[in-house]
Amino acid sequence: MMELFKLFVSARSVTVTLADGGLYSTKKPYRLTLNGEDAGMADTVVTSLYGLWPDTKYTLRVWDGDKLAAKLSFHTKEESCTLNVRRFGAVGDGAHDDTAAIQAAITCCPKQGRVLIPEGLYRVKPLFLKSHISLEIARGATLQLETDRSLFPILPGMTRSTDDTEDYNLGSWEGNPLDMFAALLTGVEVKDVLIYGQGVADGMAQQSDWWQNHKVKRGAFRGRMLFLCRCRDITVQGVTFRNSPAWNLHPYFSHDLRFLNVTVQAPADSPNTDGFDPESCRDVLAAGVRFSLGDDCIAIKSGKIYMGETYATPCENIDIVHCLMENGHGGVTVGSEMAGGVKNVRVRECVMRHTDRGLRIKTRRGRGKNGVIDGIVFDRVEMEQVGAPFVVNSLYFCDPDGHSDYVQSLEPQVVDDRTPTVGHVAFRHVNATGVACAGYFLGLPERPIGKVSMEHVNIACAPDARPMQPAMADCVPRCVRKGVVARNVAHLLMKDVLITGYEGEKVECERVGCLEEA
Amino acid sequence: MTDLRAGMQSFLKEYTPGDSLALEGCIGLYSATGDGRYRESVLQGLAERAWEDTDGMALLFALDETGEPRYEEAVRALMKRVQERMLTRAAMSPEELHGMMPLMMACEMRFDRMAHVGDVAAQFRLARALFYDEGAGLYLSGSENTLRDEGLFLAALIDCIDLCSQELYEHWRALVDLFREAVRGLMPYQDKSTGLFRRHDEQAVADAAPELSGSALTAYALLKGARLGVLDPEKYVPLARNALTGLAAVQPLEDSRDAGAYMLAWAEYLRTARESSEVKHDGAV
Repeated sequence: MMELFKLFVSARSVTVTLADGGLYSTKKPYRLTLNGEDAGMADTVVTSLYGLWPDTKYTLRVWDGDKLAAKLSFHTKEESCTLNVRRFGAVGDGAHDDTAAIQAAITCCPKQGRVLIPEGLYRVKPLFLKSHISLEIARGATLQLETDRSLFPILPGMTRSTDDTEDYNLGSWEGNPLDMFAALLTGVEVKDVLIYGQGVADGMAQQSDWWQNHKVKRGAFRGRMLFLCRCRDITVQGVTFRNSPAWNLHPYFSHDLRFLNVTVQAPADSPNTDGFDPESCRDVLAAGVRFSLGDDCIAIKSGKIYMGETYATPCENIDIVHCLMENGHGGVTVGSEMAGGVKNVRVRECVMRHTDRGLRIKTRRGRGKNGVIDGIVFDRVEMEQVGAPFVVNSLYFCDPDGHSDYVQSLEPQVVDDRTPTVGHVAFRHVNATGVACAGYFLGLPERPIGKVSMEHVNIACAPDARPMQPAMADCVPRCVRKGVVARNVAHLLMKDVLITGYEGEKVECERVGCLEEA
Repeated sequence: MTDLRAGMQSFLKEYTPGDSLALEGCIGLYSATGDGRYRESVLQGLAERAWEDTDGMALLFALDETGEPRYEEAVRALMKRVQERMLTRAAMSPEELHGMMPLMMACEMRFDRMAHVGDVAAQFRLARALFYDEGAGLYLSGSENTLRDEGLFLAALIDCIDLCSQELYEHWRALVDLFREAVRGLMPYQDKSTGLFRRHDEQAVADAAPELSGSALTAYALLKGARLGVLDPEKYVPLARNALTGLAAVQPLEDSRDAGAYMLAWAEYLRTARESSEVKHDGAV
């Protein structure tokens, strides 16, 4: 039996949830019809349809063979007009610089209008969004980003106000307000924008350009594929983003965001190509997103200590559902830049495959008192060949002083304004296979992790798993076939937790206030 | 500017830098002009006297220019002494801050994995806590040369800001905020007619002499702050240039103790002129 829900409707597209019990993929493929006409097959729980007509009533039927499995009616939104970028002079031949033409179309687009990038290869430099428009990257269309950084505009990190009382922040790099190159698509204080379609946005990055000497700032820090700065009501639907210079999708101090059926790709050895990094954002939905990358698939952030103290804006109310994370360092990561706090994160009905870690919380001394991580929940998640399904690391050795005594000390330090907090993290109905280390929870001796709940969890350590360092801290050795390790945790609840294939203790505890097993 | 330039050039022909500030002035002029004579002045200056604890930046320069191990040994030994001094949590004088903190910052970036950058910022915060007068908007360290001390403090801050990695943003920003506050506090003390800065307790004294080295150091700090983007160049470069113009009008340079401050300011002006095409418009440069 299936339930069919509408997730999002625009003038020309719809995203629905085919809830048949599958997580990312449906349990079987289904045939779709729209107003009686063939609409292709669906094999993902979150499915989008394109090419619809504005202001039209549609009835979507889902067929299991010849049997009607579900039905849903919806009405597409209105559209004022369509501006085809070709009419603005875009050539789309892969040689011509189409930046000006596409930017002109965006800038001139009226409210509720649609900028259409039809099939073709469009070489572009960074483009800037505008409020109240849709931008369609159609099937067969590819935006190819220039790789010569000397041609890129820079977004300054901080600009002082004329009366010298405030700052105007644009650029950001790894949690600090620093100069960065503009993204392929940048939005600054825009609202009500839809970026959608079956086309591709290609950052064209390679080891010979953006990814070479990637830690060195050359002109500015590397840009993203999509950067949304103080935006709201933004939807990204269906587009494939690949080969980003650095992080891919970076909404920043934004809210009311939806990322639906997006695909994010980068080679496994590409540096810092995180898939989706909401930073100090709230009310964010990622549904049916597929990741295959060189760094964390999803990394939920809220800045380093300056931003955390000055703006105190947590990342909160983040829903990640029916997503597929492959090949990254972490499936869902919180931090390491979390100085503004991260709260109410729900990861539900997702699949993680061949990621180094499943849930990964990274923090360290120095992130500050506003750096509170709380209410992180994993529910119904399948992890296949994931080295360490659950990691909470409060001694993460990041930043230039990451290996200093202050950050790495195992002795209790003074609790002060620099001390972060990890509250409650919960894992329910999680199955993990191919595991090296079942769980590693490393709190601060002076401020232990509040509570770790593991309920209805099955973890199978692989006999041939590769040794790994589950938590990147100086005190954590490489390990394999390891059970759960908990150090500096106030309350560890393990209810119906089955771990197989481990050697030694099922649970190693050091300074755990309460271990509750059932 | 003509008088200052001519005056500087004739002065430097016979001048061997005799103190830390003058050594840094020569380093600044070498950086601004590429003229090897300034480089030689630094190396000769170090060769002809016993090294002091405020010579750190000159020793670092000599190390980079010559690669000689004795300079690295001296820098590391000095760094250790300064670290021990900082551990005492005793406040440093503006002379010590200027002489030691930029060296500490440079060494943190180079040798010490940036583990103690926060300590450098803390040292400046300590100075603020002890010496900053909110009413006057000035750092009053209790010495007679109030404006020279204020200038040294500003110069120390902007030099550390220049050296500190922005990726340690909270520390970099702490230094910038202190710098901006100090600059704002000092601006009311600039004489609009002469461009020079007057000692705070001489505002009411019509014929009191303005402090030259303090004005020069302030001009240096304003120009460098504008160049680094932490001060608005549209606002502060003209004010700094007014101070330099005022200095040129007060020639000749009689107190050799002021030489270093002059050289630093002049070098920074040359860099600003080069990077903003002011050379073409100023004519005198």
